[in-house]
Amino acid sequence: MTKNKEKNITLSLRPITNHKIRIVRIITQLVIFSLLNGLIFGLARVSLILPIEYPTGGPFSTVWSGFEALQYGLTIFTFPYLVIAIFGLFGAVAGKTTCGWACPMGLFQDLFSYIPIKKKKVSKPTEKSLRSFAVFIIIFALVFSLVIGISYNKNGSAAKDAYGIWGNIPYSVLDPVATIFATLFYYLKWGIQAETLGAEMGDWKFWFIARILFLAIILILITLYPRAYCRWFCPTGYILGFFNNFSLFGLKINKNRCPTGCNKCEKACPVQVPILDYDKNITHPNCTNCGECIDACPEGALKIGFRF
Amino acid sequence: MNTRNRIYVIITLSIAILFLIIAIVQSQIDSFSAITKMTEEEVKNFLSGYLAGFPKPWE
Repeated sequence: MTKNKEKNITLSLRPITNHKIRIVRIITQLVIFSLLNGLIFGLARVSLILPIEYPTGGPFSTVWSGFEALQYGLTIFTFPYLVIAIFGLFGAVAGKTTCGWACPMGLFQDLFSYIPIKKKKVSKPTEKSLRSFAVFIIIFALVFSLVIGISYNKNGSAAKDAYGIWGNIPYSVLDPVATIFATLFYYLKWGIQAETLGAEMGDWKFWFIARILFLAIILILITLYPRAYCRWFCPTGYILGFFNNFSLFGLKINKNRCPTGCNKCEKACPVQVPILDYDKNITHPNCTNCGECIDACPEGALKIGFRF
Repeated sequence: MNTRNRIYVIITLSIAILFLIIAIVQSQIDSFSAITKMTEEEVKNFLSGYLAGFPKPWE
Protein backbone atom coordinates (compact mmCIF):
# COMPACT_ATOMS: atom_id res chain seq x y z
CA MET A 1 0.00 0.00 0.00
CA THR A 2 1.41 3.38 -0.97
CA LYS A 3 1.86 6.16 1.52
CA ASN A 4 -0.94 8.26 -0.07
CA LYS A 5 -3.47 5.46 0.18
CA GLU A 6 -2.54 4.94 3.82
CA LYS A 7 -3.03 8.65 4.45
CA ASN A 8 -6.45 8.64 2.73
CA ILE A 9 -7.68 5.78 4.90
CA THR A 10 -6.53 7.55 8.04
CA LEU A 11 -8.16 10.78 6.92
CA SER A 12 -11.48 9.02 6.31
CA LEU A 13 -11.46 7.93 9.95
CA ARG A 14 -11.11 11.47 11.24
CA PRO A 15 -14.05 12.82 13.23
CA ILE A 16 -16.29 15.35 11.51
CA THR A 17 -15.53 18.00 14.11
CA ASN A 18 -11.93 18.39 12.95
CA HIS A 19 -10.78 21.95 12.36
CA LYS A 20 -13.96 23.36 13.83
CA ILE A 21 -13.15 23.30 17.52
CA ARG A 22 -11.53 26.72 17.61
CA ILE A 23 -14.62 28.36 16.06
CA VAL A 24 -16.96 26.58 18.49
CA ARG A 25 -14.71 27.53 21.40
CA ILE A 26 -14.54 31.23 20.48
CA ILE A 27 -18.34 31.38 20.08
CA THR A 28 -18.74 29.64 23.48
CA GLN A 29 -16.28 32.06 25.11
CA LEU A 30 -18.12 35.09 23.68
CA VAL A 31 -21.55 33.81 24.75
CA ILE A 32 -20.31 33.08 28.28
CA PHE A 33 -18.54 36.45 28.45
CA SER A 34 -21.86 38.12 27.51
CA LEU A 35 -23.70 36.18 30.21
CA LEU A 36 -21.05 37.06 32.81
CA ASN A 37 -21.61 40.73 31.91
CA GLY A 38 -25.36 40.22 31.90
CA LEU A 39 -26.10 43.46 33.75
CA ILE A 40 -25.59 45.22 30.40
CA PHE A 41 -28.53 43.26 28.98
CA GLY A 42 -30.73 43.67 32.04
CA LEU A 43 -29.90 40.34 33.69
CA ALA A 44 -29.63 40.31 37.48
CA ARG A 45 -26.73 39.28 39.69
CA VAL A 46 -27.09 35.66 40.78
CA SER A 47 -25.67 33.80 43.77
CA LEU A 48 -23.56 31.59 41.57
CA ILE A 49 -19.88 30.82 42.10
CA LEU A 50 -17.83 29.79 39.08
CA PRO A 51 -14.19 28.69 38.95
CA ILE A 52 -13.15 31.47 36.57
CA GLU A 53 -11.01 34.58 36.73
CA TYR A 54 -13.43 37.48 36.57
CA PRO A 55 -13.83 40.22 39.18
CA THR A 56 -16.97 39.84 41.27
CA GLY A 57 -17.04 43.61 41.71
CA GLY A 58 -16.89 44.19 37.96
CA PRO A 59 -19.30 46.84 36.67
CA PHE A 60 -21.57 44.36 34.87
CA SER A 61 -20.60 41.13 36.62
CA THR A 62 -23.41 38.67 37.35
CA VAL A 63 -21.57 35.90 39.22
CA TRP A 64 -18.92 35.34 41.90
CA SER A 65 -15.39 34.36 41.00
CA GLY A 66 -14.45 31.16 42.86
CA PHE A 67 -11.08 32.32 44.17
CA GLU A 68 -12.49 35.70 45.26
CA ALA A 69 -15.35 33.96 47.07
CA LEU A 70 -12.80 31.70 48.78
CA GLN A 71 -10.86 34.72 50.07
CA TYR A 72 -14.00 36.59 51.09
CA GLY A 73 -15.29 33.54 52.98
CA LEU A 74 -12.05 33.31 54.95
CA THR A 75 -12.03 37.05 55.76
CA ILE A 76 -15.38 36.68 57.53
CA PHE A 77 -14.11 33.52 59.24
CA THR A 78 -16.53 31.06 57.66
CA PHE A 79 -15.53 27.71 56.25
CA PRO A 80 -16.01 28.05 52.45
CA TYR A 81 -18.03 24.85 51.89
CA LEU A 82 -19.67 26.11 48.71
CA VAL A 83 -16.45 27.27 47.03
CA ILE A 84 -14.68 23.99 47.79
CA ALA A 85 -17.73 22.11 46.45
CA ILE A 86 -17.72 24.18 43.24
CA PHE A 87 -13.98 23.69 42.68
CA GLY A 88 -14.33 19.96 43.44
CA LEU A 89 -17.30 19.45 41.11
CA PHE A 90 -15.93 21.46 38.18
CA GLY A 91 -12.42 20.07 38.70
CA ALA A 92 -13.38 16.40 38.99
CA VAL A 93 -15.78 16.54 36.04
CA ALA A 94 -14.09 18.93 33.61
CA GLY A 95 -10.57 19.60 34.91
CA LYS A 96 -9.29 22.86 33.49
CA THR A 97 -11.91 23.04 30.70
CA THR A 98 -13.49 26.20 32.14
CA CYS A 99 -10.12 27.97 31.67
CA GLY A 100 -10.13 27.22 27.96
CA TRP A 101 -13.84 27.56 27.22
CA ALA A 102 -15.42 29.94 29.74
CA CYS A 103 -12.87 32.17 31.47
CA PRO A 104 -12.95 35.85 30.34
CA MET A 105 -9.24 36.21 31.11
CA GLY A 106 -8.64 33.19 28.87
CA LEU A 107 -10.55 34.91 26.06
CA PHE A 108 -8.54 38.09 26.66
CA GLN A 109 -5.27 36.13 26.43
CA ASP A 110 -6.46 34.33 23.29
CA LEU A 111 -7.13 37.71 21.65
CA PHE A 112 -3.60 38.83 22.58
CA SER A 113 -2.16 35.67 21.07
CA TYR A 114 -3.41 36.84 17.64
CA ILE A 115 -0.96 39.78 17.72
CA PRO A 116 1.46 38.88 14.90
CA ILE A 117 4.66 38.63 16.95
CA LYS A 118 6.76 35.49 16.97
CA LYS A 119 5.72 33.49 20.03
CA LYS A 120 8.36 32.27 22.44
CA LYS A 121 8.58 29.01 24.35
CA VAL A 122 10.17 28.13 27.65
CA SER A 123 11.99 24.96 28.65
CA LYS A 124 10.23 22.35 30.79
CA PRO A 125 12.19 23.14 34.00
CA THR A 126 11.57 26.89 33.54
CA GLU A 127 7.86 26.21 32.97
CA LYS A 128 7.76 24.26 36.22
CA SER A 129 9.61 26.97 38.14
CA LEU A 130 7.40 29.75 36.79
CA ARG A 131 4.28 27.92 37.98
CA SER A 132 5.43 28.57 41.54
CA PHE A 133 4.23 32.19 41.13
CA ALA A 134 0.67 30.83 41.25
CA VAL A 135 1.49 28.84 44.41
CA PHE A 136 2.88 32.00 46.01
CA ILE A 137 -0.28 33.96 45.06
CA ILE A 138 -2.54 31.22 46.48
CA ILE A 139 -0.60 30.96 49.77
CA PHE A 140 -0.38 34.76 50.14
CA ALA A 141 -4.10 35.32 49.44
CA LEU A 142 -5.40 32.50 51.62
CA VAL A 143 -3.08 33.07 54.60
CA PHE A 144 -3.73 36.81 54.53
CA SER A 145 -7.49 36.21 54.26
CA LEU A 146 -7.34 33.83 57.21
CA VAL A 147 -5.40 36.36 59.31
CA ILE A 148 -8.05 38.99 58.52
CA GLY A 149 -10.75 36.42 59.35
CA ILE A 150 -9.19 35.65 62.76
CA SER A 151 -9.02 39.40 63.54
CA TYR A 152 -12.65 39.76 62.43
CA ASN A 153 -13.70 36.87 64.61
CA LYS A 154 -11.97 38.35 67.69
CA ASN A 155 -12.66 42.06 67.30
CA GLY A 156 -15.56 42.39 64.85
CA SER A 157 -15.84 44.38 61.64
CA ALA A 158 -13.72 47.28 62.96
CA ALA A 159 -10.67 44.97 62.91
CA LYS A 160 -11.45 44.02 59.33
CA ASP A 161 -11.84 47.67 58.32
CA ALA A 162 -8.35 48.34 59.71
CA TYR A 163 -6.91 46.33 56.81
CA GLY A 164 -8.32 48.95 54.41
CA ILE A 165 -8.23 47.98 50.75
CA TRP A 166 -6.98 44.48 51.65
CA GLY A 167 -9.89 43.80 53.99
CA ASN A 168 -12.35 41.95 51.75
CA ILE A 169 -10.52 40.21 48.91
CA PRO A 170 -6.74 40.64 49.41
CA TYR A 171 -5.54 39.49 46.00
CA SER A 172 -7.96 41.82 44.19
CA VAL A 173 -5.69 44.75 45.13
CA LEU A 174 -3.06 43.54 42.66
CA ASP A 175 -5.03 41.11 40.49
CA PRO A 176 -4.46 42.04 36.80
CA VAL A 177 -7.82 40.47 35.89
CA ALA A 178 -9.59 42.85 38.28
CA THR A 179 -7.50 45.71 36.84
CA ILE A 180 -8.61 44.96 33.28
CA PHE A 181 -12.27 44.22 33.88
CA ALA A 182 -13.10 46.41 36.90
CA THR A 183 -10.49 48.92 38.06
CA LEU A 184 -9.75 50.51 34.68
CA PHE A 185 -13.47 50.83 34.01
CA TYR A 186 -14.07 52.59 37.33
CA TYR A 187 -11.04 54.85 36.90
CA LEU A 188 -12.22 55.83 33.41
CA LYS A 189 -15.75 56.39 34.69
CA TRP A 190 -14.93 58.40 37.80
CA GLY A 191 -11.49 59.73 36.96
CA ILE A 192 -8.46 59.66 39.23
CA GLN A 193 -9.63 62.10 41.89
CA ALA A 194 -7.62 62.31 45.07
CA GLU A 195 -10.46 64.05 46.92
CA THR A 196 -13.15 61.45 46.27
CA LEU A 197 -11.99 58.08 45.03
CA GLY A 198 -8.48 58.46 46.44
CA ALA A 199 -9.77 59.23 49.89
CA GLU A 200 -11.84 56.05 49.89
CA MET A 201 -9.00 53.91 48.65
CA GLY A 202 -6.23 55.02 51.03
CA ASP A 203 -2.85 54.79 49.35
CA TRP A 204 -4.51 54.72 45.98
CA LYS A 205 -1.61 56.27 44.06
CA PHE A 206 0.90 53.62 45.12
CA TRP A 207 -1.44 50.70 44.55
CA PHE A 208 -2.73 52.16 41.30
CA ILE A 209 0.82 52.33 39.96
CA ALA A 210 1.63 48.88 41.39
CA ARG A 211 -1.34 47.21 39.76
CA ILE A 212 -0.81 48.98 36.42
CA LEU A 213 2.81 47.84 36.52
CA PHE A 214 1.78 44.25 37.24
CA LEU A 215 -0.79 44.44 34.43
CA ALA A 216 1.82 45.79 32.00
CA ILE A 217 4.14 42.87 32.83
CA ILE A 218 1.27 40.42 32.28
CA LEU A 219 0.31 42.05 28.96
CA ILE A 220 3.89 41.80 27.67
CA LEU A 221 4.11 38.19 28.83
CA ILE A 222 0.80 37.10 27.26
CA THR A 223 1.81 38.73 23.97
CA LEU A 224 5.09 36.82 23.85
CA TYR A 225 4.03 33.60 25.63
CA PRO A 226 0.43 32.54 24.84
CA ARG A 227 -1.70 32.13 27.97
CA ALA A 228 1.21 33.11 30.22
CA TYR A 229 -1.15 34.28 32.99
CA CYS A 230 -3.01 30.94 32.90
CA ARG A 231 0.22 28.99 33.08
CA TRP A 232 2.24 30.86 35.69
CA PHE A 233 0.10 33.21 37.73
CA CYS A 234 -3.57 32.24 37.75
CA PRO A 235 -4.60 30.84 41.18
CA THR A 236 -7.87 29.43 39.81
CA GLY A 237 -6.03 27.76 36.95
CA TYR A 238 -3.49 26.25 39.32
CA ILE A 239 -6.20 24.74 41.54
CA LEU A 240 -8.11 23.34 38.54
CA GLY A 241 -4.87 22.09 36.97
CA PHE A 242 -4.42 19.79 39.95
CA PHE A 243 -7.68 18.02 39.00
CA ASN A 244 -6.47 17.43 35.42
CA ASN A 245 -4.69 14.32 36.73
CA PHE A 246 -7.98 12.47 37.14
CA SER A 247 -10.78 14.58 35.64
CA LEU A 248 -13.61 12.78 33.84
CA PHE A 249 -13.52 15.06 30.81
CA GLY A 250 -10.34 15.64 28.86
CA LEU A 251 -8.08 14.95 25.93
CA LYS A 252 -7.18 11.47 24.74
CA ILE A 253 -4.48 10.44 22.31
CA ASN A 254 -4.62 7.31 20.17
CA LYS A 255 -0.97 6.40 19.58
CA ASN A 256 -1.96 3.88 16.87
CA ARG A 257 -3.08 6.79 14.73
CA CYS A 258 0.15 8.66 15.36
CA PRO A 259 2.80 6.60 13.56
CA THR A 260 4.99 9.52 12.48
CA GLY A 261 4.89 11.66 15.61
CA CYS A 262 4.89 14.80 13.43
CA ASN A 263 4.72 17.02 16.52
CA LYS A 264 2.14 19.39 14.96
CA CYS A 265 -0.06 19.05 18.03
CA GLU A 266 2.69 20.19 20.40
CA LYS A 267 3.54 23.11 18.12
CA ALA A 268 -0.12 24.17 18.03
CA CYS A 269 -0.62 23.88 21.80
CA PRO A 270 -0.73 27.38 23.30
CA VAL A 271 0.29 26.17 26.78
CA GLN A 272 3.21 23.93 25.73
CA VAL A 273 1.79 20.58 26.82
CA PRO A 274 4.20 17.76 25.85
CA ILE A 275 1.32 15.81 24.24
CA LEU A 276 3.44 13.06 22.71
CA ASP A 277 4.85 12.12 26.14
CA TYR A 278 1.42 10.71 27.06
CA ASP A 279 0.21 7.25 26.05
CA LYS A 280 -3.55 7.67 26.42
CA ASN A 281 -4.99 10.44 28.59
CA ILE A 282 -3.41 13.89 28.54
CA THR A 283 -3.30 14.93 32.17
CA HIS A 284 -0.82 17.82 32.11
CA PRO A 285 -1.79 20.57 34.61
CA ASN A 286 -1.50 23.25 31.90
CA CYS A 287 -3.98 21.60 29.49
CA THR A 288 -7.17 23.66 29.14
CA ASN A 289 -8.82 21.21 26.69
CA CYS A 290 -8.91 24.04 24.14
CA GLY A 291 -8.72 21.59 21.25
CA GLU A 292 -6.03 23.40 19.21
CA CYS A 293 -4.09 20.14 19.07
CA ILE A 294 -7.14 18.30 17.69
CA ASP A 295 -7.46 20.90 14.92
CA ALA A 296 -3.75 20.61 14.15
CA CYS A 297 -3.47 16.81 14.07
CA PRO A 298 -3.52 15.55 10.46
CA GLU A 299 -4.12 11.95 11.58
CA GLY A 300 -7.10 12.47 13.87
CA ALA A 301 -5.17 10.92 16.75
CA LEU A 302 -6.54 13.27 19.39
CA LYS A 303 -10.03 13.41 20.80
CA ILE A 304 -11.82 15.30 23.52
CA GLY A 305 -14.41 13.55 25.64
CA PHE A 306 -15.18 11.57 28.77
CA ARG A 307 -12.53 9.07 29.85
CA PHE A 308 -13.84 7.25 32.93
CA MET B 1 -8.23 6.10 33.31
CA ASN B 2 -6.81 3.67 35.84
CA THR B 3 -8.45 2.44 39.04
CA ARG B 4 -6.50 4.84 41.27
CA ASN B 5 -7.76 7.84 39.26
CA ARG B 6 -11.32 6.47 39.37
CA ILE B 7 -11.07 6.32 43.15
CA TYR B 8 -9.75 9.92 43.23
CA VAL B 9 -12.70 11.07 41.07
CA ILE B 10 -15.23 9.30 43.28
CA ILE B 11 -13.71 10.68 46.51
CA THR B 12 -13.49 14.23 45.10
CA LEU B 13 -17.06 14.15 43.83
CA SER B 14 -18.32 12.71 47.13
CA ILE B 15 -16.62 15.44 49.18
CA ALA B 16 -17.83 18.12 46.75
CA ILE B 17 -21.44 16.92 46.88
CA LEU B 18 -21.29 16.63 50.69
CA PHE B 19 -19.94 20.20 50.99
CA LEU B 20 -22.58 21.41 48.52
CA ILE B 21 -25.33 19.91 50.67
CA ILE B 22 -23.80 21.45 53.82
CA ALA B 23 -23.62 24.85 52.07
CA ILE B 24 -27.27 24.62 50.94
CA VAL B 25 -28.45 23.59 54.43
CA GLN B 26 -26.38 26.40 55.99
CA SER B 27 -27.93 28.99 53.65
CA GLN B 28 -31.39 27.65 54.55
CA ILE B 29 -30.57 27.99 58.26
CA ASP B 30 -29.43 31.59 57.66
CA SER B 31 -32.60 32.38 55.69
CA PHE B 32 -34.75 30.82 58.42
CA SER B 33 -33.03 32.80 61.18
CA ALA B 34 -33.46 36.00 59.10
CA ILE B 35 -37.19 35.31 58.70
CA THR B 36 -37.74 34.47 62.37
CA LYS B 37 -36.05 37.73 63.43
CA MET B 38 -38.45 39.81 61.30
CA THR B 39 -40.79 42.29 62.95
CA GLU B 40 -44.56 42.17 62.33
CA GLU B 41 -44.27 45.02 59.84
CA GLU B 42 -41.40 43.35 57.94
CA VAL B 43 -43.39 40.11 57.72
CA LYS B 44 -46.35 42.01 56.27
CA ASN B 45 -44.09 43.64 53.67
CA PHE B 46 -42.47 40.28 52.91
CA LEU B 47 -45.84 38.62 52.37
CA SER B 48 -47.46 41.51 50.48
CA GLY B 49 -46.57 39.83 47.19
CA TYR B 50 -48.79 36.84 47.99
CA LEU B 51 -51.79 39.07 48.62
CA ALA B 52 -51.29 41.39 45.64
CA GLY B 53 -54.47 41.76 43.60
CA PHE B 54 -56.73 40.09 46.17
CA PRO B 55 -59.49 41.99 47.99
CA LYS B 56 -58.70 42.75 51.64
CA PRO B 57 -62.11 42.88 53.42
CA TRP B 58 -60.43 43.25 56.82
CA GLU B 59 -58.95 46.64 55.85
